[in-house]
Amino acid sequence: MLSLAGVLLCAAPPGTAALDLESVLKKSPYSAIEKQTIHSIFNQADQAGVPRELLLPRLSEGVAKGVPFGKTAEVLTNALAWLEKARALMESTPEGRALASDPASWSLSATLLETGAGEQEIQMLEDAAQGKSTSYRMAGFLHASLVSWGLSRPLSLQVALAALRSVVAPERYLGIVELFEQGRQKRISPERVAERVMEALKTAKDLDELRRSVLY
Amino acid sequence: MTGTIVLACICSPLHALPPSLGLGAYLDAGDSSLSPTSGTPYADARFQGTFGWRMALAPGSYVAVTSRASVAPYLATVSGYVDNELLNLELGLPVGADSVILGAGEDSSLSNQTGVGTYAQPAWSAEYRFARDAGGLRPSFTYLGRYLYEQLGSDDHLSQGFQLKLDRSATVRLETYGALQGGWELWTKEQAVDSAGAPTGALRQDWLAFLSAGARGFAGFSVDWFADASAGVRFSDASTTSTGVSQLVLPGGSRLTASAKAGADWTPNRFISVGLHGDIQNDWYFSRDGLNADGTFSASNLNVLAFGGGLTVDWTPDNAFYVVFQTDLSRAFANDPGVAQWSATATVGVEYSF
Repeated sequence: MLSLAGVLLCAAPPGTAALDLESVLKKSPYSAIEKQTIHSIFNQADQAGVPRELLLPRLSEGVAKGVPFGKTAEVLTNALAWLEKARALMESTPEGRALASDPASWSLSATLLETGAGEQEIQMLEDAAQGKSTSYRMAGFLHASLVSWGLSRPLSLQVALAALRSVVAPERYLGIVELFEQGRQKRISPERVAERVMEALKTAKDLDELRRSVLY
Repeated sequence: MTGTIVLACICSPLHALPPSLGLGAYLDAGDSSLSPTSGTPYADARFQGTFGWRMALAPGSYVAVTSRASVAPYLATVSGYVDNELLNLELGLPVGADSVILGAGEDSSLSNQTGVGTYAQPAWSAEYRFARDAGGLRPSFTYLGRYLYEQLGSDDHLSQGFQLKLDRSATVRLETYGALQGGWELWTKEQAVDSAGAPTGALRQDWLAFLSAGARGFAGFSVDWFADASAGVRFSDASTTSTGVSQLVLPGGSRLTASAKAGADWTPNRFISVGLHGDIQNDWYFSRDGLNADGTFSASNLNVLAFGGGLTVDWTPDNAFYVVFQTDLSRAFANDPGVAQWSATATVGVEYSF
């Protein structure tokens, strides 16, 4: 299951990132040379215009879980690369450019790329979100969660796009994941649940109505 | 048994998705103080079919039907079989932003393993459900009715009730509710009694009132959970608190009841699911004596404390074929050997969903 924790963190206020990096490194068991390597990665991020707060969650998670330095450094280096790739992708369309200014949306795009999403998938989500960062993030979470749960990537994308086109509040999209799990309890295949969800999203006003339409 | 009322407006059907069909075959094994041969372990082979279908009639309106039928011939030590048939119909219509839903259903069995003969329990209900406000609050009012018929038993009764409910969906991960339920029952094979415990010739009537509250939620990305609690009272005119009367033999049982239940389903992916649930209930009878082990009446009123719990695990390689394992345990403690009960069951089986 991919870790969605990093994309949930909002951008930290300017000026606090350096303090946070030091406080995280203080808690780590890394040697002076290893800490210098971490600083180097964050300096590269600064030069690339990638906010430090988009990498700090990865470092903090690695330190908290006792991940060996080499693995943590590899994760940070890869994360930086994915963030740069995500920015280039987002800045290729007007909708993406509007979303790229939101660090959480930018981070989500990077995570989606890292976990196997295609560029076209991300651009389709950006287009359907129409520049609304909350809609984009919630639909992205939904897409990633359904793929992680076992739904095929194309079908999961269709569900996320249907949610974006509906009037259901974006904050409620995660409830659609619950519908798949509850549908499974009723022995309704995920593909059939997806079919019902997409049909119901055309008219459902809220999650309650969606639930009644899908679970029978 | 679900039930909601619908103000009818039959419109052209807009869209009907394929129905859900399922078949299951199971091996059940268990023992119970109430089994057909009490205290003797039993086993049965159970066969089950399920059906579900829903059709939109117009935007916001729909009709839905769900049903389940099973038959379970006993194996080895016990003869006969147990069957059960369930049917639920639901019809919903929008009323502005609100909705009205009508429901009807039935629960029946043809076999006579429980000693009551054939039984049938039709039920009906009507609900007016308000739209949620900006804060996520949603009131609803429901009328509920049912009638239990027993061919050989004496629990036949007509039940009429209502529920006032307020639920709140603060976030997508947490919903809470509070409800008041009230009801009246007319028992058609039992009589009310006077203060001396003698039948009056009038049919027994019971009145009930309960308060309940609960929550359900979605934790992480794979755990569904629920927790409910309820407390209330039943007054029956087929019971009396007068001293000197042998309350034990009276049919009614005025009592206070408190109960709670909770459970969770963990479904980390589409292939496996694990469910756990538990419940507890205490009944304080204020019109029936307990019974000592030597057969004499207890100085205290009858008190029954019951526990239950179960575990369900199922696995599927393709979301069509399922392998299921389930176990349930229950135990009731009481100051009356005749009321104390227990049961334990285990089930293994396979299901196929079309």
